[in-house]
Amino acid sequence: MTTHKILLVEDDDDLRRGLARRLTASGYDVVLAADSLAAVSTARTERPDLVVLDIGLPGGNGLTVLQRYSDTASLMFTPVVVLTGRDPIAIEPDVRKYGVAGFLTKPADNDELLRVIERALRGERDPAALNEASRN
Amino acid sequence: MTTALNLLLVEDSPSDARLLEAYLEEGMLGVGSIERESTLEGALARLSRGRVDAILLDLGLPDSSGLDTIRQVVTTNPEVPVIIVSGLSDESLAEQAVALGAQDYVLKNAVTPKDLARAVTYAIRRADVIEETERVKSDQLDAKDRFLSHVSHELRTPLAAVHQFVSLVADETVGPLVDEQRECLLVAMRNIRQLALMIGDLLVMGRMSSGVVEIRPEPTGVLNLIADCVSTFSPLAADNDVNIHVDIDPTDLPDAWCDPLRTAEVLNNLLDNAIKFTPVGGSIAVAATVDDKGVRVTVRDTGRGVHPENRERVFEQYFREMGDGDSGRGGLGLGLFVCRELIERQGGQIWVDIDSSARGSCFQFTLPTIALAQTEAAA
Repeated sequence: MTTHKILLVEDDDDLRRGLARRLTASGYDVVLAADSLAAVSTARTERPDLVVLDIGLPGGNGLTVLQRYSDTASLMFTPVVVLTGRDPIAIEPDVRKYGVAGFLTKPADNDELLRVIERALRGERDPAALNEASRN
Repeated sequence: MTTALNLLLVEDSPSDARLLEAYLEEGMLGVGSIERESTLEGALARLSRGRVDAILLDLGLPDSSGLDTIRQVVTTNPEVPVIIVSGLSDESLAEQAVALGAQDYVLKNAVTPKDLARAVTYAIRRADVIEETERVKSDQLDAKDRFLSHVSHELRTPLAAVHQFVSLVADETVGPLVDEQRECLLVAMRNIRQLALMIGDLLVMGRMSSGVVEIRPEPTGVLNLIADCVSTFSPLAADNDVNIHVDIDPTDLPDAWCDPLRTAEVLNNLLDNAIKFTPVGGSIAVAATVDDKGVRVTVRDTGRGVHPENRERVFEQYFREMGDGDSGRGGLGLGLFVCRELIERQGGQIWVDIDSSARGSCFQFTLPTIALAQTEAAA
């Protein structure tokens, strides 16, 4: 079985390190980006199997990243799991337009995060993604 | 007062009206115009065409009398100061007039031009102050909502970092633990989850009052909705050794006319509560049926139940029913309050059944069926 590569986009240094450690421990290869420009350029060069994306990012926000992905032929089918501290209800209509594979609120339960990622890697959309968006 | 004042005098007696006009012109500086109406209907029609600075109102008009006259003027024009000019020296009537929203009560046969002018001027000033106070209050509420949303957002990232690093240690990803260390970290994890719930509640509070929550109803299969929500909660229930059982006959359940996201939020909240309050080994049953009120969803648990006297109060803001040793179990006490808001805004009802003979609590809510929603819309 090949190891899946995940691009983790998170601007908070501590959280990025913690999540990277979690994903590595779960058997994923992890590449990192800390702002929206790097989120696009790293995705282009690294070709991850999945992106975990924060919404509040320096240099534009996660929505501009989603837009850039959907405009880029090599990235438009890469599943994205949104992990945000923003009010899910306020940003959900915008995020929903991009058909993300999962939508989780910080701090996300680890088991849930990993389950959503596994599903997305199998090409399934998390059925609870929208429920999740409305929780909290 | 620099701009000329436009006053409306509502008085059916021509001689009284002339006298009052003369008093106003004599006693008051800055009167631009005094318009006169002799009936309530005429006065309300005049007010609907544009604003005046103050209304001088006689209570006995051909088409209205007494306090009802005030009620009608004040409810349709709450921002315009009203001064009652009455022939009746009646302290209790005057008091009631002011309670209904009149600024002052003066006696036609005892008032001097100066008194009348003072009453009108002060009434206008007071109305300005009230308006300003209301504006400041509404600005402050907006600022509070923005603050709540901002704080909630800003607290989440550091909390997520704490959660991640504590869990990396707690689940031994970074090395083995001895039992006592593991126990300590479990307490930390529990409190992190509680903090996350509270931060979520802060957000909800700002959201509910600022009206961000939109209801977008559509034909919704309740069975799928319940299945999705239950699957989300199954891991948590399994962790607590609580069984969730779904009991629905899919053949006779029509679609509901509701917003699937908001309804899921309600179900999630009820399931979350049910799991929280059901002891190890207990069970939760979710059912859906249809009757003349629409689709009825029931979430029943075998937990400690709701005290009968709190039947209504559990849906109030900040209400939390305290039991033994559970001070740290929930958020800020907004969950069921939000549920009620969301269900009622979708045309449904939510309540808790109290059955002293049964253990646990039984929350139920209704949602209109498509047919019911159509009948409602046509009515």
